[in-house]
Amino acid sequence: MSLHDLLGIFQGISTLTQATPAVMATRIGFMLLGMLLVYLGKKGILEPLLMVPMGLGMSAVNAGVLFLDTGEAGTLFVDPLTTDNTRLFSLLQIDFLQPVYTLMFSNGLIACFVFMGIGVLLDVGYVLARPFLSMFLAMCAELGTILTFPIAVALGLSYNDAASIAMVGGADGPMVLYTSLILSRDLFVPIGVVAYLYLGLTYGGYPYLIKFLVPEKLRALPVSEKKILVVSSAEKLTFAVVACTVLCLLFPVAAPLFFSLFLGVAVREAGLHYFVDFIGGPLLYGATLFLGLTLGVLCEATTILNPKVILLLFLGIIALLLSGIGGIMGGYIVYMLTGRKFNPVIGIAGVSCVPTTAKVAQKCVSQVAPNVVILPHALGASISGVITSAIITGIYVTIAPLLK
Amino acid sequence: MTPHLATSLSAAAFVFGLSFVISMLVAGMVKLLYVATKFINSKEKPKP
Repeated sequence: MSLHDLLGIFQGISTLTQATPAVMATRIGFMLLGMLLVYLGKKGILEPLLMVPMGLGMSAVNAGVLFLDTGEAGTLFVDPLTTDNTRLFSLLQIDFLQPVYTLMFSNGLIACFVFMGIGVLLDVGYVLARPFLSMFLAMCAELGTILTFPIAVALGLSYNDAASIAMVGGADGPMVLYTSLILSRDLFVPIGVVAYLYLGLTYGGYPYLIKFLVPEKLRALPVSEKKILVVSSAEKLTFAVVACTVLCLLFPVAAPLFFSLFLGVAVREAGLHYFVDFIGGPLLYGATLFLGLTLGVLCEATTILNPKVILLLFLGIIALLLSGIGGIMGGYIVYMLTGRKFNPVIGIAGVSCVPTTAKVAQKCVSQVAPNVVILPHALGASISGVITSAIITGIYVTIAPLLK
Repeated sequence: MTPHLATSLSAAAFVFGLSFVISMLVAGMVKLLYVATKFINSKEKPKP
């Protein structure tokens, strides 16, 4: 038996040796990166709920490449690039994750499931207590979402691709997926992967940004609380219903996202405990598992080997960095307007990603002033960040295809 | 400046402006709802 026949038994190795140097290097690189993601998830440096399935999927899909009936190299996981309906019907019976991808991922359903789960976890009372302040901070923290768009166009991306990668600045994974699925179907795999990778890295990076931009004296500044507004469930439910209807009316393209978010809020505030338990438990965690798994297996070398990926990696980090800076700038503006009675760190919580950025802000403050509590203000800004990101998604999805 | 970049800058300014206005409208709507609910609650007669 020759070496060639022996390699034929182990097709994962055989396809690796017969691939181009670029594909071979990418496959090996992704196998190692997947292992690293699982390790970082386990250590808690990155979000384990996403990184463990995503990392494992990334390693497995790049290892498990074989020769298909057509003679081409491929996997039995998923084929995201097929457009032929007859072939798709075949794939649905062969690739084990194809049904999840086709019926839940490529139409944005999984993003909507995650958004419903986020809605159930949100207490909009924090926004209702200080609506203008929270919304102002959230808008400042969208700086990256706004500025990355012209930067990406200047670097050669199309308007649609630029809008998709700019949404990384909103730090909302489902929103980035939704925008890229509508605007950049060819690039939504790398954009989705970049977005989720960076969301994990941001949690580690934002504390350094806060320490760099806000001096210790200001980080320790207590927030003056004149009175604590008590917001009833009926008021929160009314807000959810009216805001959902108005935003769907304004941006029908993003209506599934608005609906999903406010459905979660409405279910929670209406006291529908069975639904709350289902959406906040099995649905949210099931969707997160399959989201991580699907994102991981989509990182197959031939799918992700796109010259634009390096550019997307750069633009993603720029978007999140600018949003963080914008949020802190917003915090400084409120600090000045309130006669230096506002902790500017709260501003960074406007970078959405409920409730992580709010927790990061509180953690940075607690390190220098253990008795200072900014979490209610930070949560208000963070929840508003979800709403402003959804609004910007609606605007980008509507106007980007119209630009010439 | 290329026409594409000029268009994208105008679009970015438009997106910021429109999203800011809508966000403030949502905040105003929230405040209005809050005040209206409080007003209605204050007018309700106490149950015997």
